[in-house]
Amino acid sequence: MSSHLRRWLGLEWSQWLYPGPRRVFTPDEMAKAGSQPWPAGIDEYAYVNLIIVLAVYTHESRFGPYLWPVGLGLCWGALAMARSLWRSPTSKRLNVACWGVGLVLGTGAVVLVKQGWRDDVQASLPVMLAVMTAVLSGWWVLTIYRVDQIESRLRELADQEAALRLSTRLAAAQIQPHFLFNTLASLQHWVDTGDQRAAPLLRDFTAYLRATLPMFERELQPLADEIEMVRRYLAIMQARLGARLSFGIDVPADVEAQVPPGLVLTLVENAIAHGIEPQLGGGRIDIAARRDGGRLTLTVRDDGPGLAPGWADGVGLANTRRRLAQACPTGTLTLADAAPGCIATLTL
Amino acid sequence: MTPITALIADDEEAPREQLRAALGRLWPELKLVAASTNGAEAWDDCLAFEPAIAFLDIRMPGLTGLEVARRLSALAAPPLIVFVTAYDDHALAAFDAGAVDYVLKPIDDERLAQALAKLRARLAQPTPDTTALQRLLAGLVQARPVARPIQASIGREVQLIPPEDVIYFEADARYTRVVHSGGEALIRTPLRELLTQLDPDQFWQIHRSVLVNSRCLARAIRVDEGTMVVTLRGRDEKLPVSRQFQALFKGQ
Repeated sequence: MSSHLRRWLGLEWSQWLYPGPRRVFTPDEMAKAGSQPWPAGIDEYAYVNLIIVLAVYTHESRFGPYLWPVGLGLCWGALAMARSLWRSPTSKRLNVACWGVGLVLGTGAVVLVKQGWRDDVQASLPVMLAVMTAVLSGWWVLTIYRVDQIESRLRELADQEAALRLSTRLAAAQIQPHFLFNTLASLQHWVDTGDQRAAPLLRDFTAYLRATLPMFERELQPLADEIEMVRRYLAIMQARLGARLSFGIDVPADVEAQVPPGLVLTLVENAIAHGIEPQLGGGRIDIAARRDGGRLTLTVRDDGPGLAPGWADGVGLANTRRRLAQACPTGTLTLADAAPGCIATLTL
Repeated sequence: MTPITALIADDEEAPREQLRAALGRLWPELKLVAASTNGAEAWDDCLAFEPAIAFLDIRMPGLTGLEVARRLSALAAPPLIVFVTAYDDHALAAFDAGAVDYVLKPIDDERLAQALAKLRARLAQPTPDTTALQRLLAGLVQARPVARPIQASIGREVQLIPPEDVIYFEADARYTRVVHSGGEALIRTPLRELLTQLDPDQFWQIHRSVLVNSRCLARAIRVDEGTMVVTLRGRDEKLPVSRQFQALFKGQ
């Protein structure tokens, strides 16, 4: 017996006292996950059912000519309220609506009784109560369903975002295997032959690896760190390519900013791959940064063959754009022909 | 016995020298005839020295190693090709099973020795059929971007010649002679660099120093066992076809 009692007491009685969902969404959450349109099929379904019921009962009704307009009007009102709950599925709105309906119907009944319609009111009371219960339950179920729908959509979006963030970070931290093994090939040979160039190359390579490997642990890093990484990278490439590469870095010490790690490095890697390496005679890369007002402008310029006709963003550049949009939504990245070569402009 | 000849091509100095040193250790009798520093040079050196073996880096300016290999495989007596690359490009699985081998940089003596053993075995056999390799390479080589006009300076003006108007290019001592539908011009760009910018299906190389527009070819005439010439539509001159390229004209 006592277990029955406990179970009975343990029921969710709060739903009886104050029906509706407990979760309240912020306007941001609603904008992100609550923009699904009202399913128009519900309107059609409700009206069709109502028309059939009204057609069947027209000749039995005590309300005569009022039955159709009142019935259709109430249905329209109930659906309008349902749409409003769809847009903003809160317990508060649901309860106001329920109490409002109760109040209107109660007052209406009292007025009608006072006007001498007592018998008619009494006779239609069960039907009216049944209809009212059906409408209120419909609203309640709709609200609970809607909140559940938005919640799962939010969860889905959060999962997607987390996966995207992880994948872009991992991609950013990925070192090009061609770069790695070509550098090791030069290093190997210079160590074997006791060449003077081995020691500085090893030093630059170590610093480069130390800077790039923990990249995915940080969302942002100071521009000075990024530029240092780029400098090491270019020093390695210069050791390997010899006279085929020259470069200049003009980033004043007072230009400070936080950038997504690897952003500038990707642009420089692209300049090497598309601007320097395809040229028989090599070329030059210039990196410059300046701040005017609140904006930082950084350019990476090469003197290679320029953009190929019909070029499109590769994986690296698409990834870079995504990371830029994540870290700095107002930042821009553009590539243009510079005659000769190509210029990439980054603003933050 | 004539020594076996080889060419190595890599655009970076250290890996090139490393390969040279490794070959010196593992196959001292092998005679290196050229160490090319880019793809265009590698192709030209192959035509000039006709090595039996070519060690090609894949990523090189001018022509990639794959493009050089594709051109080589169409020659009458192509060299055996070994690709040297820093990273196991997906394409290499196909080569591993095919007619050529590959080694990874930095070069490991043991792995290189295996490749050399394969080469020795292959050299003892008759010339292999390269049609399968050619087809494979054709799929791997990426299309060249649209060719830009040829720019020839004449005094103070620069004449722009669309590539499709060119009838043939001929390498001169220091210049390249451009014979086109509107006359003749001289440009400074060496032929071996020029051919990297042109569509190889449109401009056929028929000699180390001649590149001809295939649409202007009229007929190929075999003069004797080793000599062939081509004639051109509406023109009197005859252009020589060197022995290496005579396989281009075999009839269908």
